[in-house]
Amino acid sequence: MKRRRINLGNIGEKVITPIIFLLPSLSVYLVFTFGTLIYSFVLSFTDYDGLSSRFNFIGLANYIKLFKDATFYIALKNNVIWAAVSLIVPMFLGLFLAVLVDRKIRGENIFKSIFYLPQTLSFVVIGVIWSWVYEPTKGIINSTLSAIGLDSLAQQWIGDPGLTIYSLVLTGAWQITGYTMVLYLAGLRSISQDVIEASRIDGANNWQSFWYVVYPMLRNIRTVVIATIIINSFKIFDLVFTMTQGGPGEASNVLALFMYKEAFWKFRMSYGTAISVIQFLIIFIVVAVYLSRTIRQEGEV
Amino acid sequence: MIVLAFMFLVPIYGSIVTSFKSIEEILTEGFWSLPNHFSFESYVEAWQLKNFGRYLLNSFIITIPSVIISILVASLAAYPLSRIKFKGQNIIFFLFVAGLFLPPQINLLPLYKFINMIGLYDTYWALIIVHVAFGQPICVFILRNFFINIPFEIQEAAKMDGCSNFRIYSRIIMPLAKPVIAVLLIFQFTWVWNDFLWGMILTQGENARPVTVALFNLQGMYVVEWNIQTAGANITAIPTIVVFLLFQRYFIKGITLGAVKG
Repeated sequence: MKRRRINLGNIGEKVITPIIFLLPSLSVYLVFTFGTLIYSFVLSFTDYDGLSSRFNFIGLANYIKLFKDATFYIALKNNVIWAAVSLIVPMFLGLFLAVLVDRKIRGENIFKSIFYLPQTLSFVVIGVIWSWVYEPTKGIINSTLSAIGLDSLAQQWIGDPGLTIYSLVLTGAWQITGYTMVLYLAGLRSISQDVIEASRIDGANNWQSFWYVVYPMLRNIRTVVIATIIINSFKIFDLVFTMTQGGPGEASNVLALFMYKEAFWKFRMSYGTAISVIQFLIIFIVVAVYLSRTIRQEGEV
Repeated sequence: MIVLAFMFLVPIYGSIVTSFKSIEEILTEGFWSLPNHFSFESYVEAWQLKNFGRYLLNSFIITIPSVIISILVASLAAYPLSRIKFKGQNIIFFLFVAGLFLPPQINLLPLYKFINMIGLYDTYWALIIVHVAFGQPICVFILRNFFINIPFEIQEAAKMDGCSNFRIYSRIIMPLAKPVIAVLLIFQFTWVWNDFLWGMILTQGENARPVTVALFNLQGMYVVEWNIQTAGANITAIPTIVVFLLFQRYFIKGITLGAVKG
């Protein structure tokens, strides 16, 4: 009798309690994200247009069409550019700022706030502000260039097909640098001063002790920053949508926007889901490969 | 660094000064100059004609419950994931973490259809539910990682005294987690407030449309009236900037909480 009660209590503890606690969160999460995710996968194999109630399974037709679609490659290329530039500019700028701020300078908090401020803004707000910065005649860049007599350098920052995507990435960099700075700063602050002093005693100068001692110790932070930047770069939507809607033509299109336009403007719903499935797989594979390589390297060291 | 800080602020400076200028002044003077006389006309225009007041209110009505519910629900889920050992624990936690990688576009169409089907299209609840669902990965992740570091001795002692799990959760764990909850509150607030995609997809007209989407429409309507555009942008940004300035320290702590432990 006694033993049985203990067992019941155990079942309560090990099964029922977790279920009750998890239920609200897990049910909302699973229905709205995983449920819809699976539905997306299914739809990508159909000819569903979003309007009619019936649809047929058409196998891989959407995917075959996608791999022959020139816009897909433009969008993919732009996402890759986004990731590549973001892995250079905000990464190093963030690290550089973190090192500067870490020196316990006066007004540290003010500087941190300034660099972090763009992170708190909606991409729609950023889109408005930067459209004005890039404005061809009165915007800050071109008007300043002409004021100092460098009219020839003035560009159609978000009108020139070859340039637009870089202008957008630069805006993105302005937004994300504060984030990388704060992460690096946390990493720097977690390194014990003793280690740095030890390297000094061994005769390392400022630069050497940073490069050979501090920088390698930031590895974990760097992994997080790189993974976050990659994920963000392949998810990017709001900024491009509000600033250029992928234009001029398709020049600044990205995968997420490509999907949105196909699905909601052209009513090619199932084609849109196929795009989003590919977008998801790209993120998943790139991040998985990156993380598994980093973990393996860590094992070797 | 001062140079860099200056460069970072220039776009924001432009947005502020421009919003107080008249359109004629923008066309003659351009970006840099301070307004000749401060004019609030652009704000009045955005507020009255474009009904920004209503959209701001919508954003608050969406954001506040979304934030509270998502953190509450996530904290309940984080409790068994960190304080009770049970089968499948790791799989469930992994499911939540996987959500951090998902691009929202993959849920876009089915969710749009589903929200229509259950009759929530163009309501506050549509956005609240979606934000709660999409807030789960990060909230569960951060809370679970915090909970798991609370010493287990406290819990054992309480159990000896006959405390139920719910009491342990509500009387011991949650009070200890206050700092991390504060961080999450602020973070989720900015996140939900700044959302654009779901607001655009799931609403129509004034009923439930958040201010970010209203700003986007304003941008399309006043293509050359930079004063009105920037006024709208500033109105939209003020709540998050105020929250940021008030709770700055939490913000910066929050990023590291979300990331370093990953």
